[in-house]
Parts: sequence; structure tokens; C-alpha cells
Amino acid sequence: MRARIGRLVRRLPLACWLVVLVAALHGAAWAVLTPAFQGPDEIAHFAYAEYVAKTGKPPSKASSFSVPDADTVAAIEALPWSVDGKPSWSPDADRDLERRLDRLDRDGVAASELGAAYQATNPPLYQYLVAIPYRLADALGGTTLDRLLAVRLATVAIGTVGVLFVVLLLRELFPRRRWAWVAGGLAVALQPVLGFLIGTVNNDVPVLTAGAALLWLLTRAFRRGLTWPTAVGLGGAVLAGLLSKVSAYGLLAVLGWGLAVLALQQWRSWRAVLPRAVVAVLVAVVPLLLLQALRDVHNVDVTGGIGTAHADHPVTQGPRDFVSYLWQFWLPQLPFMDEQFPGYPHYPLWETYVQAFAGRFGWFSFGFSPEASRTMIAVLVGLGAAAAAGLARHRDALRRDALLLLTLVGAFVGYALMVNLRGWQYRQETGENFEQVRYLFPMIGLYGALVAAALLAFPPRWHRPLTAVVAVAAALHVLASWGVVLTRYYM
Amino acid sequence: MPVARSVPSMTPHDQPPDPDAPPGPSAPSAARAPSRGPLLALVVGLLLVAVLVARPLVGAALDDREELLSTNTAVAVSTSARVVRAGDRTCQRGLYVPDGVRRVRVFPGYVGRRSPSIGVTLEVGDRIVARTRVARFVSDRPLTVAIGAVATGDDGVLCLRNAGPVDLSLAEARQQFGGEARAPVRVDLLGPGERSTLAMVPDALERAGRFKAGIVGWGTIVGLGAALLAAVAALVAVVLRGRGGGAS
Repeated sequence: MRARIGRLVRRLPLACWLVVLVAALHGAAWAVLTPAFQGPDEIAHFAYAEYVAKTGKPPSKASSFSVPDADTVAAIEALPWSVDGKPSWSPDADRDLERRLDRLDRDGVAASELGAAYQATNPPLYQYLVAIPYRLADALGGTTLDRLLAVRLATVAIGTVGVLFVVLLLRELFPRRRWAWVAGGLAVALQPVLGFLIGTVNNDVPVLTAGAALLWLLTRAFRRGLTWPTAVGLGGAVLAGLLSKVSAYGLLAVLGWGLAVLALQQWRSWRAVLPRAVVAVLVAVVPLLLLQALRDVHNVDVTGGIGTAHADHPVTQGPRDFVSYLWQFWLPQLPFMDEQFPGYPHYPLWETYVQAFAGRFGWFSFGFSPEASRTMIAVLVGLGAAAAAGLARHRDALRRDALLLLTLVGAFVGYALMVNLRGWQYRQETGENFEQVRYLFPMIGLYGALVAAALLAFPPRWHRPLTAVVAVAAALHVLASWGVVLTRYYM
Repeated sequence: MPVARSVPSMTPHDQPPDPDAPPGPSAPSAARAPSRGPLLALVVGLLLVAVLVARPLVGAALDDREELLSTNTAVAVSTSARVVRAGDRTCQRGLYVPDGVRRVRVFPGYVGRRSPSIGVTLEVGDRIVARTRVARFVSDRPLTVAIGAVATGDDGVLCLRNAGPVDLSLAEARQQFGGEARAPVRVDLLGPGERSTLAMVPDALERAGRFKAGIVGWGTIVGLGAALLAAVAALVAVVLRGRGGGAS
């Protein structure tokens, strides 16, 4: 294992490691810039980790409202915090809070099982991971705000591993073009919403990393054949995602789809492929089934209670309504369709995905102005057109890799579809919007691939300068995003 | 053992040399005729970036904006009501009133309707430092009241008295931590004039260091931001020079 890692380190060029470093610094900068508990659902996520760190077990019950530990409540109330509000910046209040948190720590604070609230329905892998830095910060005498930062930085590390997987994916996709690994990797590493997300406490981050690993290993299987380690890795990636967040079941669909196309590609060696594909699925599924069978022992329901959590509002609409929902999410409503989005979002694709990808921060409640966000449309359309031109320019390679391309495009479409499926159920259960751009981040590696493919449209000698342009543009995007956050919270 | 493949291997190790690779250290680069293509790509690309991102960014940074000296949103109010009836009063307590406050901006929460007439008082300590009355207004935007010079203090109280004739809705009522819903009055305390966003960045960074972990201050934030930009710059240099470690 150590030898394999050593080989990996040596094989990746310095520039790729710089991309990984950029991802780590980007996430860390967001972790210190974002006010405490201003990540989406960060109170409940942190309280979940806190409970696991203190008791060594996940909470046994979910609730609608989060009631975290007393010191966390003290910190939240003193910030002061609200979804739409801005904190006060009184230095005296800051000092008062510090003294109060110190006093609470000295007196000892009991673990609150209701802190995780609605997040308690998720399996606890992520919380067990971040419990380690939590306890470390606690042992060093840190207050709840110090422990929050420790957990945020651990999340940055998990997200950075995800960016490394993206770089590895790009290496498999464009093995002869090292600039592509950098250009695509950097576009992902400096994506501001991704940087913001990995800089907060959120179980979407391990899912993101699991998704990136899954795409890398699938591509590797297409390129180099499905080896036993790759098969186990594929199943392990999906398992890690599902043990972090219950709604990550889209990863399982991607695995199934990928293995099916892989079997088609390698049908001549089906005797070797089949058992490995079965092992990949078993590695992903069997531990979940075992956990579910023993759920009364350890309080972990790997289904998350989906479908039963809102028994008052059961899902009653049929597949036809789902098709209508799907259509109206991605395309304009047609006259004969029942309106599926009467309130927010009015233009789901634009508001939920495009605007949010340009930049949406805090509890995903603010970001760039619609005018500024329109630039993102130009960028995405431009990237798509250039990528199409780039692939057409290299149609020989494209022909050779058609099944791989089909797998990756299908993975994105399928994953997005699974998010929409959950969104459709959620809307019926609660009447509220579910979809958010961060739920698509497990497929973020494909954004890196899109950027790299776009550069293929240009002559080879332009590739390195254009990679530098990508770096400058992405860095400016980050600066603009920090500006949005600074003005929102601190001006 | 790997499974036999139906496609040719494309590992980085058995590929022909990268056609995009720059000349190696021993390559006679001086003998090569300089190409304008890459330079043109760099210039055109950067110009595009300047138009799409840098120009609006600089514009936003130089735009003047009201100088917000402090704001409070979730500190205690004297009532837990979501609506203040005609003749009643609600107060936002625990306001931090920094030096230089000249105007108060209140978000009463009425949207697109005629508000009641509102009496506004701001107390610091036990002293009323500002008192004014606002006639009825169409409340589709926040109410901004000039209050003149006030004393600095950490225990400001802003009170809104509904002088009628209609009810005053509060902006936001939240149930938090299982307790009763509270309706804080969001109050922004503004300075005398406007400053550019860029000029406010140092203040903003200083504020950003508060209410955070002990090791976080404005220096941490600036340091990490600078380290990130330095890493990106190093990466650009590595890419442009065609050096990525090992053969390209």
C-alpha cells in the first residue's frame, strides 16, 4: 500500500500537487472567513459530530429543531445568528463570549442528543471522522468555536482528497496532456461554492469525495481493466458516500450504470469482469444491509427513514407527475402541464443550479446579483461549445472512448435525476424546494473534464497559456466571492 | 491480474511523448523560432477574463456604499410578538452602538403596504440619545432615520412605538432551540456617509476575525488568502514554464 502511494506521489507532476495545495488553502480560507455556523445546516451537522465525539455513538432520535450542547447554544446566540441577519462586530461582545465559553467548558457541558435534529437520520461515518479533530481541539483546551474550526479544517482535508481524485480522474481521461490535469483540477479546486462548502461542517463533503473517487475508478476500469483493487475501491467509494449521507444513493446508481457499460465494453472477458463487478456491488451493499439488520443495536438507519419521515404527507403523485416535474425543473413549463413550481424557485435550473454555481453562500441564502450570475451562463455555454469542438477535433480518440464518454455523461444525467427524484418526493412531503447545486458536487470531476475538454478545441501550443488563463479567471472568481461574503457579513 | 481490455492501453507510461510538452532542459530552445500563438492566447484569454470578471469586480470594489458600523439581528427584544399593535412598543436590546453612528436603519417587515406612523428612540445607558417620529410610509424598503450624534455604548436599546393607525409587522420571527418564537428588529447602525467597498475592506477583515476560534484573526484570514493567491501564482508559473516535475 505504501509503495502504491509512493508511486502515485512520484507519478503526479508538481503542478498537480500544487492544485491539491490550492484546494486545501482555498477550503481553509473559507473555513476562517465564514462566520461560525453560517454553513448550510451547520448547527445540526456540528452538533451531530459533537454528540458522536462526546458519547462515541450516534444520536438515537431525530427532531425538527436543533438543540445543541449548552456551550454551542451560547456561541450561536451570542454571535448573534440568524439566517438572514448579520452578526454584530462588537469587540466587547466577542470577549464576553470567549469568557463565557471558557467558563462553560470549565463547568462541563452535557451532550445533547437533540442537537443533530433532522441530520440524525444520516449515517455517522463523517461524524466519526471529524470527531477525531473535535476531541483533539477539546484536549488542547479549545472552546466550542475552536472545536468548530478543527472540524471545519478536517472537512477541508476530506474535500481536498476529493480534488485529488478529480486530478486523478483527469489523468485517466487525458493521459497525454498534463496541462489538462492542471486546468480541470484547478477549475474544481478554485470553484468558490465548493471551497465554501468544504470549509464548513457538512456531510455533503465526504459524498463529494466519494463521488470523485467513484468517477476516477470507473474511468480507470475502462482504461486499464477492472482489477480486483479497482472493484473493491469502486464499492468502497459508494459505501463511504452512503455511510455519510443517506441521499447519496445516486452513487449506487452511477456504480450500476458504470459497471453495466463496462461489461459491454469488456464483454469478451466477461468471465473475469463479472465476478469483479459483483464484488464491487457487494462491497457497496452488504455492509449497509448488515447495518440495517442491526439498526436497533447501534441506532443507525441507513435508509434515513426516507418515505416514512413525513407520513402525514405521503408521496401520492405518479410517474407522469414526476416527468412533468422533471421537465419543468430543466425546461420551461408547457401549456398543458400542471404547475410544479408555484413558489421558489420560479426558474429552477437558473436559480437552483446556475446562479448557485456562480456563487451562493451562507445558508445558501445570498450570492452574486442575477446580473453578475449571468456571466456564469456565458461561461458554461462557452465551455460546452468549446468542449464539443474539442472533442470533434479529436474524434478518433472520441470514437475509441465512446463508451467511456457515454458512461460519464450517463453518470451525470443519472445522478442529477436521482437528486430530482428526491426533490420531487421532498416537495410532496414538505411543499419546499430540495435541489441545491451542492448535491451535484459528487459529479464535480466532470466539470473539471469539461474545462479540460474545452481547451482541446484550441491549437496545442495554446493549451498552457489557456491553462494560466483558467487559473487567473478562477482566482478572480474566488476574490469576487470573498467580496460578496465580506459585504454580506462584515460591511 | 487485470482483465483483458478491448481498448488499447492509454496509461501515461506507454504513450508517445506529449505533443504539448515544452522543450526539455537540454532542448535547443534558442534555436526555435518564437511563436506568437501562445502569447496571443494568453493575451486574448486575459482580456476576456478582464471583461467578464475583473471589470465588474473592480467596479464593485470602487462603488460607494453606506458605511455600516454595527448591526444586530437576534439579540433580545422586549416583546416576543410578531406584530406590534397601534399604541404598543417594542424594543431591541443589547445593541452595540459604536462611535460615529449618525443614522439608524430599521427593517420593520412591512412589505409593499402603508406602514403605521412610528416613533423611534435610541437609548444608550439610561439616556435617550435620539428620538424621532416617522410619518406613514410605503414600507417596501427599510426605514432609515437620521439620529444625529450619539454616545458610544454596548447596551443600546432601540424602541419602535406604533403610533397607529395600523399594525406594525416585524421582519422576522424565528423559533430557535425549541424556545418560543422571537421577533428581533433588525437594526443597522450607519455612519455619516458613504465609502468605497475597497476602503472598508480593512474594517471588514478586522470584524471577520471576531466571534471565531482563538487562532483566527484578521491576520489569519489575510495570510491564508495570500497563501492561496501565491500558490495559484506559483502554479501559473509552473504551467507557463512547462515544468510540472518529471517529463511532461
